[in-house]
Amino acid sequence: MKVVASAKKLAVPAILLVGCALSCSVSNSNLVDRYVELVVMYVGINFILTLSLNLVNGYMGEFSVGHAVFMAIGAYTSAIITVKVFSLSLGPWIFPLAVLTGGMASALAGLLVAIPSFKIRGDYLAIVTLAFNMIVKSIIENVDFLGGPRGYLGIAKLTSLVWVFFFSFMALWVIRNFVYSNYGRGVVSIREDETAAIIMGVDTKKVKIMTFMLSSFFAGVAGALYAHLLQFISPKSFDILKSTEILIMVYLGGIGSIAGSVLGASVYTVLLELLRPLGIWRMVIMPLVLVFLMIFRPKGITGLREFKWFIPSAEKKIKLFKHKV
Amino acid sequence: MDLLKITGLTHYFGGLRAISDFELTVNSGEIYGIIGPNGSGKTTLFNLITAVYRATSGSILFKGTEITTMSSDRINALGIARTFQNIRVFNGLSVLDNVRVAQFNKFQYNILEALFNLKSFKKDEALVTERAWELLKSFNLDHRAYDLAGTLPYGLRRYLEIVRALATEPSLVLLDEPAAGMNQVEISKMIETVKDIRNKYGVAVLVIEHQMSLIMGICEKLKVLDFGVTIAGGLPKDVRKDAKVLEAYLGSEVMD
Repeated sequence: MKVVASAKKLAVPAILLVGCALSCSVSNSNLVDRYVELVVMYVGINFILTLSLNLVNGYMGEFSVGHAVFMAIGAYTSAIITVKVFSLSLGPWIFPLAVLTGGMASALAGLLVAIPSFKIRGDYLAIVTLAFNMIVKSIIENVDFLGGPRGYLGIAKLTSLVWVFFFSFMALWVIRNFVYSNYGRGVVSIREDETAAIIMGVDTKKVKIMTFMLSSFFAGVAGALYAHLLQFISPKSFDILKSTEILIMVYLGGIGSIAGSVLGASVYTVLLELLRPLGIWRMVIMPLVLVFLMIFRPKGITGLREFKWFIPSAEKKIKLFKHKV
Repeated sequence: MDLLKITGLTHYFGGLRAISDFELTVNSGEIYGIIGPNGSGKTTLFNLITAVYRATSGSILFKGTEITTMSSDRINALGIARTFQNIRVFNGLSVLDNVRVAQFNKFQYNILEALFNLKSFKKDEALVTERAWELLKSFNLDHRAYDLAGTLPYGLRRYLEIVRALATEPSLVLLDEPAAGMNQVEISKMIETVKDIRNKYGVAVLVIEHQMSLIMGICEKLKVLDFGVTIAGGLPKDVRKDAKVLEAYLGSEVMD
């Protein structure tokens, strides 16, 4: 039994290490097509975005629709750091720090969004977040230091498969820990019945602040990875359309589910690539797929359910499957 | 010492006076009943105590602290828990998690310890879980612990709400019609439960109920409300003979 227990303890660092080594060797060899590698990296970035938005929209049941704004803040912050603040001579090791700083800048912005959520919910919060997305986009467009509407140039390609894997894994692990703690249960209790939650002692303000900050932190991380993969960011990359794309991945995969976020991000990203030969028809087929999915699986592929591996061993017995909303 | 002391409590909904000049003193370990016809302001009273509504005027002292301006979660941390007339368990959480989340004011770990799954988090989480199991066992809900609360039948959800309230370690529990929709057998079981809450956990109970068998069976003191006004109060045996109470429940005699 002891061996099993200690093996379980080491599982997380082991997976992280093996995954990093594997992704490192893949990107250094010619075994995998560069295009495939790129798509995989997009899947990873989209997964971080989806999971982070799922925390607010799925687990907490709020309706935030301007998630790309946090991505933008993370992308611009990290880009400024790698381009202006530190020269590349310091080596690629500055990159993870830049990514984390981008995430933290986003988390601060998340704090701003948390405040209106104390008072308003649902459609009204959606409008506030939408407005926030527009405001930040216009600010970036009008600040010359950030390149204005032309976009920000000269970003080095620092995002590699290893870093995408590392940050995706961290996002998954950290958010899983959060969801299966009493804070996470507080988040779900807000979704289920906010008044009852606060009367039962759940500090709903604190929980909301933490959830919004955690969510925007990872969106910022994803934005930073995105900026250093594309090597070019402009305000247009973070408009409402991008926010909508993240929303689609959340609801496609399934709300309130880590497995759903994995599936939503992978299916959406890969399907868009597979449909590329269809040219302009891609944008007809893809929405149709979504319409049918919403008819036949309105809660997404794995809505409110969880893949066994993503549940901590102590919580595995909880039956999520019987629940009907 | 007075556990809960309400003086001059008044609340308006627009022009409607839902509670007027209400006075109440509950001592530690007491079982106190509030009765009255529908719409007499009983649930409003609970909502005022737990800060769902803010009182128009008056004061509510709990353990000597003024709670009229406090937020609901702080009031809960001080030691007031409640159940709801229309059951409000967290349907999307498991039974166990319903009881665990109610210990939100009790656990010690901070957010970073939780995010990185540190030892202090695991230790505290184990304590929270153990306490939840103990409570579920003593109310015979442990066999459904892993089911989602929304899948429980009506009666069990009522009990889950009580367990959830006790999990916050209160010194006063407000029960809002715990026996609504129950038959006589279930009511006598509920009477035992309410007695247990007081005797085993040492918690004072303030209970709203229409089922007279429950009220007369357990309450040491009673208050009768009608249209927000206190029309009678005192020992149950005196209240049931009170002319005003009979009038409120049965209507006044028509004079020819």
